[in-house]
Amino acid sequence: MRWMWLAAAALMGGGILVVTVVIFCMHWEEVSYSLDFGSVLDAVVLLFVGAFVEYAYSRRSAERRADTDLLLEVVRDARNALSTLTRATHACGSERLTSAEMKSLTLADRELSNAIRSIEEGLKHCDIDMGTVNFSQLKSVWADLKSVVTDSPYPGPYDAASLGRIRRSLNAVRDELTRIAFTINRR
Amino acid sequence: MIASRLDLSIAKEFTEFPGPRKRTEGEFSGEQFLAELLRPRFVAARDAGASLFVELDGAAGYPTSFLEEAFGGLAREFGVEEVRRVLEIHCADEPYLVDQIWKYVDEATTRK
Repeated sequence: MRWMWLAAAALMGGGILVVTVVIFCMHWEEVSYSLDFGSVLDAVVLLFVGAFVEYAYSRRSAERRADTDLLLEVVRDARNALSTLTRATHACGSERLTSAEMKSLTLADRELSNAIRSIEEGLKHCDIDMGTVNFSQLKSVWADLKSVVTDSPYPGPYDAASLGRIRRSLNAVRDELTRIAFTINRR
Repeated sequence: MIASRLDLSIAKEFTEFPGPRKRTEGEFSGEQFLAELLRPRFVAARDAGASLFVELDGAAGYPTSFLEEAFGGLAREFGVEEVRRVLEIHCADEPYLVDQIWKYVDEATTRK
C-alpha cells in the first residue's frame, strides 16, 4: 500500500515539474531579471526564516523521538516485570504455595504494579493525554490480573479454572502493553 | 470533627510478609490483621474522634485477599462512610495500592 502512495507522489511531482518547464519555455522571453537591494534582502530574510523553521522542526522532532524512546523503554520494563510475574505464577498448581513462593509472587506483583505506574508517570511527563492511549484499559486488565493471582484461591491449591483465568489475565496485560507500545510509537 | 490521628504500621506492628485471606489458609492473614490490629485501632480512633493513618510501607507486597479481607471486612462491619471518614491510607512503596484498597472498601457490601 505504501509503495502505491510513493508512486502516486512521484508521478504528481514529475507532472508538476514538466508543466513548469513547459510554461517557462513558452514565456521565457517575457521573463526579466534585475538585482536590487530589496530583492536581495527579501531573499536573505526568506532564507533565515526557512532555516529557523527547519531548525525548530528538527529540534522538536528529535525531542519527540527521544521522549518516545524513553517511554518505550519504560514499557519494556513493564513487560520484563510481567515476565517475572508470569514465571512466579508457574508455582501456582495443585499444591498450596510455600512461604517462599508466596513472597516471590507478591514481590513480582508489586514490581508490575510499579512498572505500570511508571508508564503513567512517563505519559504525564510527555504531556500525552491518557485518553489518547486509553491507559485506563491497561490499568483495568492489570487490576484483574492482580485479583486473579493473589485473591482466592490464593495461596492455593489452584484448580484448572483458576489457572485458566491467570493465563488469560497475563495474556490480556501482555496484549495491552503491546498496544500501548505501538500507540506511543505511532503518536 | 477529627481532632488527632492514630497510626498503624503494618510492617512494624504486624508483619513484613502479609499472608492470605483467612487464618486457616496461613499465618499473618487479613482476618488476623483485622481482628488483632485494624478493628481495635479503628474503634479507638473513631471513639476518640481521630483519624486512623494506616502505613503500608515496609512490607514485601500485599495479596489482594489480605487487603480485601482486612479493609473490605472493616467496611462490611462499620459501613463504607464510617471507614472513609476515619481511615487514611499511605503507601509510597506501591502507590496504586491505595486506590485498590478504597475500591475494596467501596465494593465491600456488594462483594459478600
